[in-house]
This record gives sequence, structure tokens and C-alpha cells, in this order.
Amino acid sequence: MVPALGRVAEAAAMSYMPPDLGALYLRHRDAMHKVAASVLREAGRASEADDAVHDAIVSIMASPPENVRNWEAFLVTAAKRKALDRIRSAEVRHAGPEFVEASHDRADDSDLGEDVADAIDQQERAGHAWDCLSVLDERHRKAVWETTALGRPRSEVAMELSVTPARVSQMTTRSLALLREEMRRREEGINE
Amino acid sequence: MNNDERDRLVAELLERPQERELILRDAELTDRERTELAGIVETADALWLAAQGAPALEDDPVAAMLGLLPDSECRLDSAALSRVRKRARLSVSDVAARLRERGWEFDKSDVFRWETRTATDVSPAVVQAIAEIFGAPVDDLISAPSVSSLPDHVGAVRAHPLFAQLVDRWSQARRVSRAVATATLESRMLATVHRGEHPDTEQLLRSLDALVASVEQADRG
Repeated sequence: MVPALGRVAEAAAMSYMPPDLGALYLRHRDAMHKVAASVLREAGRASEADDAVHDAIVSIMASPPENVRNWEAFLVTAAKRKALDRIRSAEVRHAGPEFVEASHDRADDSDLGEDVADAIDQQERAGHAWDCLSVLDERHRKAVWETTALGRPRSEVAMELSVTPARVSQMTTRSLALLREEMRRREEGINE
Repeated sequence: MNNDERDRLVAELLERPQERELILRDAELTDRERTELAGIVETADALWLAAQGAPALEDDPVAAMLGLLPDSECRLDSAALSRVRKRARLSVSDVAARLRERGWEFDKSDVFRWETRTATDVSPAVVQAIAEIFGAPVDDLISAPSVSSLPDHVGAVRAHPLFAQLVDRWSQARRVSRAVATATLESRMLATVHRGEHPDTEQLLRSLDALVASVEQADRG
């Protein structure tokens, strides 16, 4: 049984209150970082993903949006835009956060839908790829994870595995082919 | 293309993702080989994406900026929570429901635990939300700040007169209590340090000032 509400609580219940930005960020921060990293990678600047997400959140704090229907879409799109802004900008930032124009609300709904659908699709595939790593033996898993996912030089990984860099390339290609096959099998529901 | 050539080409495509178009344009490949390579690269991209994502919460400056890291400056007091909740005539379920309405993922067992066992894991942002739900000042809900050991340069910033001004500005811009603002700015500095950066006192103050100014812009505009 729910006791009678106090007057303050009743008043709060009657008026619409947007979600707390902190709560939204906790829920969607991983997606925001992933989408920012994907965009920045194409310009060789994936390491700036954290900064792009930071820019997006500061922009939202400075200019809170109204009437957002889909917060996940909104936040993912904001992160993507800030990543694109970074690519476009010739400036290199070193001295901490700067003011960034509140541009998170400039898209129309069709852009939002497309951005989010793409991002979610990619992130689902990423999750599948991660799940499928278990089909590889330990050495192949290390070779493909360290070089492909973490971007470590083949020569370093080769030393750790006591093989040549060429062998690491071989193991990586083989692993990716096996992963692809396993992902396809699982997606098609062939697996038991 | 033999296997060695394929392995070399894949390595090149993975090492220089921004030049893939160029690399593939220069390679002599059959349609079948191009399709095979596209599949391998697509899988590699999925695996790469799996490794991306947000940093650990305690190392995430954005989480710190949003008051998501528990801090001794703004620690929810179990007895105070129980007292203020009862005064507002809300049940623990009501509080959990109100928090969920605001986007937080808590249930009544969380609120019950905060009152009966420990609330040290409750972040300043959640304390602020609870205070707003009750229509009570944050100061009514928190315990006196405990002495925490801060890295020297962070401690120096905390003791600097400018820090108090920054706290006031943040509190005003974000419409949060001073306790929440203090905890947030302190966490923000610590998250920067956790990330391996070693800014001095002046740099930390400048960085905080820039952050506060960026959030203030809308109010001024």
C-alpha cells in the first residue's frame, strides 16, 4: 500500500520533469563513447572520443533541450555531432574544456532516427563479435584482440606470443574469418 | 592473391583504417577477393568497436562533472534520509519510483538499504535528486564532510580561495547545492588525476574555471 503523498510530492508528480542528465548519461554513456570513437577513427583521432562526449554533455548542460522524445537518440546524436565537429575543426585542444556551441538540437527527426539505428546496429554487432571470441583458442584470441580491437603493433604482440609479426597477421586474418563465420551462424540461428 | 598477400593486405587495412579506400583501390583483386576482404574488415570493425566505450566510472571526467562519483563532501546520511522521507510522508517505494521517473535505476530495496545499512555509494547527483523529491535542502540530508586524503595539488586547489568562488558559480549555473557543487568539482579534479594527467594548481583552477564558464554561457546569453 502506498501512503498518502505529501503536498510537495504531489506537486512534483503533477508537473512534467525531464530526466536528470546524470541518470541519462549513466545509461547511455557507453553508446555515446562508441559512436564518437567510430566517427573519429575515420580521421585517425579515435583517442579524442572522450573529449567529444565531454563537449556534447557540456553543450547540453549549457543549453538544456526541451521536448526530447528519445533521449538515447538525442545523446548518441549529440556525441556523433561533436565528434564530427572535432574532425572539421583545425584546432587542437590542450588546455582543458572550451565553450562549444550548443548544436545538439539542430537535427531533424529523420537524421536522429538514422543516426541511432546505425549506432545501435553497429553496437549490437560489436556485442556479437565479443561473444564469438570464445570460439578461438587463447593464442588466436590474443592475436586478434590485441591487434584489431586494441590497435597494438603486430611486432609487440609477436614478441609476447614468441612468433613473427607475419605469423601474427596470419593468426589475425584466420581469427577474423572464424569470427565472421561464427557471427553469421549465430545470427542465422544455426547454433543450438 | 595468395594467403601471404591477403594477410599483409588485411594487416594494412587494420593498421590504417582511414586509408582503406586508397589501399583497396591500389590492390589488384578479383570481385570475390574484394567481397572476402570486406567481410573480414567488417568483422574487424565490430571487434574494434567492442573494445571502445566509456572509461571506468571513477576515471570518467564527464561522470565526475555530472556528480556521479560518490564523494565525502556530499554523503547521504541514513538517519537524515529516513527522517526527511517520513516528514515528506513518502514510502521507500515512493522515493524509488520518483527516482525512476527522473531516470535513475533504483528500486525500494536500494532506498531501504540507504536508510538501514549504508549510503556511502550514493552519488551527489542522486542526493540532489532526493532533496528535490522531498523539497528539502541537500544540507538536511548529508552528514558532515569527513576529512579525505587528497593528492597534494588537488588539496591545494580545494584550499584556494578561487575554488570557493568556482563552487558558488557551479552551484548557481547547475542549480545544485553548494555541497553537491563542491563534491562535483572535487571529483572532476580527481578524475583528471586518475587519467594520468598531472596538472599543477594553476592549471587545475584554469581548467575548472573554463568548465564552469562553459556551463554558464547559456545563463548569460
